[in-house]
Amino acid sequence: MDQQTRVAAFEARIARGETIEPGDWMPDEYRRQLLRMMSQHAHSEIVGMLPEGEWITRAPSLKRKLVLLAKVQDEGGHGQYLYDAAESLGATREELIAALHSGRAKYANVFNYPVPSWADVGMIGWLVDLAAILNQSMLAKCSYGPYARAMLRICSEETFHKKQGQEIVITLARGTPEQKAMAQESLNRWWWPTLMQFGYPDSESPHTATLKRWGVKTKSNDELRETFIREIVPELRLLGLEPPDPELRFDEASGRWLHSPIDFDELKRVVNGDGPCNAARIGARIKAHEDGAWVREAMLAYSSKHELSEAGA
Amino acid sequence: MTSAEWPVYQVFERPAPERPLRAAGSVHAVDSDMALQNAWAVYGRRPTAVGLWVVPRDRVLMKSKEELAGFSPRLEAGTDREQTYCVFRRSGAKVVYEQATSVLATNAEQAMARAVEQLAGEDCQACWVFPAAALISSEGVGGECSFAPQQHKWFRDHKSFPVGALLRDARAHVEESDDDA
Repeated sequence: MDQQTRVAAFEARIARGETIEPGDWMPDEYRRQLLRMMSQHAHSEIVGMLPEGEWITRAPSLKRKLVLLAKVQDEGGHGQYLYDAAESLGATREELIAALHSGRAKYANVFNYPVPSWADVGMIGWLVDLAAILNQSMLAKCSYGPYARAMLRICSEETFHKKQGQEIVITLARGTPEQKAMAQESLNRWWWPTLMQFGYPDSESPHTATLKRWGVKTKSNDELRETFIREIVPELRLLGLEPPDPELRFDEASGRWLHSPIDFDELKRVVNGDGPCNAARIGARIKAHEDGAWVREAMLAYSSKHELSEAGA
Repeated sequence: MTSAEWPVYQVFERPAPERPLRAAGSVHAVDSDMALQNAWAVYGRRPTAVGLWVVPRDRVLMKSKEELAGFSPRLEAGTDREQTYCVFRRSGAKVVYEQATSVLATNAEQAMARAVEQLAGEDCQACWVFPAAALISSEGVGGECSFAPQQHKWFRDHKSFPVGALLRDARAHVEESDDDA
């Protein structure tokens, strides 16, 4: 079969709604795009543990501490699900982690911002996790089996995270004036980075059309971004919180939400390593990896000794 | 030595007592005991898992739909004894592999052929087989689990975070103060 016939057969499978598994034929570009997306996604989960992890020892009550611990642990688990999916395309865990540490692999922009207040923990849970859910529930229906399976598991857990964050923000917004001000100040800092999290505008996303045809994405970045705004703004306003955008309004005529332009130069800078916390985040990952090296060596030594004694028995 | 990758184990979970197992994902581990421990840390956090199995990936024969279409097993009679193989498959629009049946065979290729034959007429999008002897299970003979399933974690319960009710209450307050004005 020549390349053209193979691609046509592949696209016909996608059009029939079939799911592709690792042993099936796929275009090189499909493999490349999926590997890029899954690696980026896995790294985002792992790096995403760091900003919220800073608050585990400072959570305001035992209940909050338990919830936060479970959430950060969930994110570690999500990273494992996604590394597993990425490995199905032949990447090794070592290569994936090395690419993160060297800065070659990217991860979500939002985790490169500081988390100076407790309200940030609520705001990350509500805004960042809602944005993630919109993207992930789309990917749970994607055409690549291992990615779809990872997403199904993640979505059901992510729903908790969003509710947990939202509950923190509601409590603060309906609390003392100081608490409400804390929530507003946090919203001011997280609003724009969360809108950027959906990625570059459709006009600058050259892969979207192909990814849609191959059943990887079903919605564009701008479509998901608008769904997010439509869902969250009325709820924020109900709590007396206002996103930091004087142009933000619902336009009755077009039925759409209008907002000021998003600073995509900032997104580019932060994704490429020049955000407020990039160095700290990657530094923490490298340190954890290096500090754990002796444990990995000990485990391997234990297993080879075990095998030897079994062979000798 | 440090750069050696730990072997991969496939992980299967039982979502509820008496229910068939389904594929959960994989873990890296140096041996099967550690694989089961890691599987519990990664896949046993949710209230759903009441039992876990792990099996070395190199013991699992995996065939996708396209591979099954061109599958011609080596069926020459071996001298090996027959043993039980577990069969997992994907069917219909479901993307998750579920336990389908078990077959007796002398090797994995033969097990795959027998599984496909047994499932003939049923929808089979992709299939995995592995020898039952290769797995390590958290479940004892009586079905009891060696770890405590996480059934009573309140922070895994949607009812603990009634954001819908809280927002309705906030709305009622806003409307009340509008009436006062």
